[in-house]
Amino acid sequence: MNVPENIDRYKDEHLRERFESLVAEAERAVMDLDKSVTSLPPVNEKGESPAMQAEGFYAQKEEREDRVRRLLGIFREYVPIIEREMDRSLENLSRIHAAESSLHSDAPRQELSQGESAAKSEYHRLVGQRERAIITIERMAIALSAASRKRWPLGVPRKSPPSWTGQESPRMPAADGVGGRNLPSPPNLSNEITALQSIHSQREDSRAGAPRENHSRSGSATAFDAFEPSVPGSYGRPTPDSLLGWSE
Amino acid sequence: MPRDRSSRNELTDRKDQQTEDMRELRDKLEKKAEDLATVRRLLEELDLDGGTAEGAAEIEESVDRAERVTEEVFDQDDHALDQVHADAGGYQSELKERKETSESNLGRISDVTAPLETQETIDQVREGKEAALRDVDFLQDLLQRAMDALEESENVQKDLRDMRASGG
Repeated sequence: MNVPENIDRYKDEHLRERFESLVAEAERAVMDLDKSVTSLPPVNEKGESPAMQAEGFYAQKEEREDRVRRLLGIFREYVPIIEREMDRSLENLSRIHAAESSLHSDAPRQELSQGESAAKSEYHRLVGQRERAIITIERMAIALSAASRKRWPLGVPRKSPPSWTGQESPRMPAADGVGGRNLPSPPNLSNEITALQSIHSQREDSRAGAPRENHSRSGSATAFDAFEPSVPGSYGRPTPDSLLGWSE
Repeated sequence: MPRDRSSRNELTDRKDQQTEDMRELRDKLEKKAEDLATVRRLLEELDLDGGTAEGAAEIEESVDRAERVTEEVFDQDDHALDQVHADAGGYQSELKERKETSESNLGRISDVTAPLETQETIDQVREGKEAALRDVDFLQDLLQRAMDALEESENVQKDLRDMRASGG
């Protein structure tokens, strides 16, 4: 058993008092990370995604990953501390039992028997604490493993602008485009699309030699449209099939 | 002066019984002292400095209670031994009185021996003198053994009391 140098770390770390809240914190962190991971928008190797601010969500996921990783480190450090405390408790229990057995009188034996019960309870409490620590470690490791499979393809993702930081999950454009109307359209991209559509219409008109209704899509453009590449034809509107080929 | 005329066997039996009572109580007291030492040593050996505040307090209290209750039963046995010692002291006084009486009788016999003229009377008085001498010797020996037993018991009691007072 790995015994830390400071044998009183269980006391120094206030583990008896803090343990439950630490477990609760770890469970919350795992839940948050799981939530982040399951709601990550798809993204291709170029970092393109149909979702708005996808990079921000990846950044948020990584932050949550760091939090879980930090807690995992703490819990991994705590296990030997708890085990040291278990050793101490077991040693006390064994000494009380030995003393109790060697007593000649019943009266002090009865008193020590209560002490032995207290030492047993203490030991069992520590055993339970160790088990919970190990289970929590396993949960964190599983969550981190799942999270590690979903990486932002372009290295370290940048954080979202402040207006997006509180968002729990990315807003994906709905298939009919209705949901997407609620999304704020990035103004620059929208202008670019409008300009491109205008150029495209002019070209079409010139090729056909016939007047064409100049309908700007900007008015009815969905957020999904906003993710069309700036170079037309590089890839079309993503379909569920095309999404399958994207890195996640 | 003792009024009863106990036999030598009865006097010896009484002394032996007192010695046995002292020995038994001393043994009991020694066991209580051992218990006390065990409990006190346990309190020193226990490592209660960890973070198990409540558990440590409960264990410590239980050992403290065990110590207190052992001291109480020690004191009860100590008191009982005091009583036996007091009885033994009383018996020693009685033996001393008996011995002094025998010595006094011996003196009186010696006093009356001188004016006696008939050999028969002289022989009878000599027999009485020898019997009185045997009594004195017997009582002296019994008294000495009773004193030794009491002294030994008191010494052991003192050591055990010191042990109780010193904390082990």
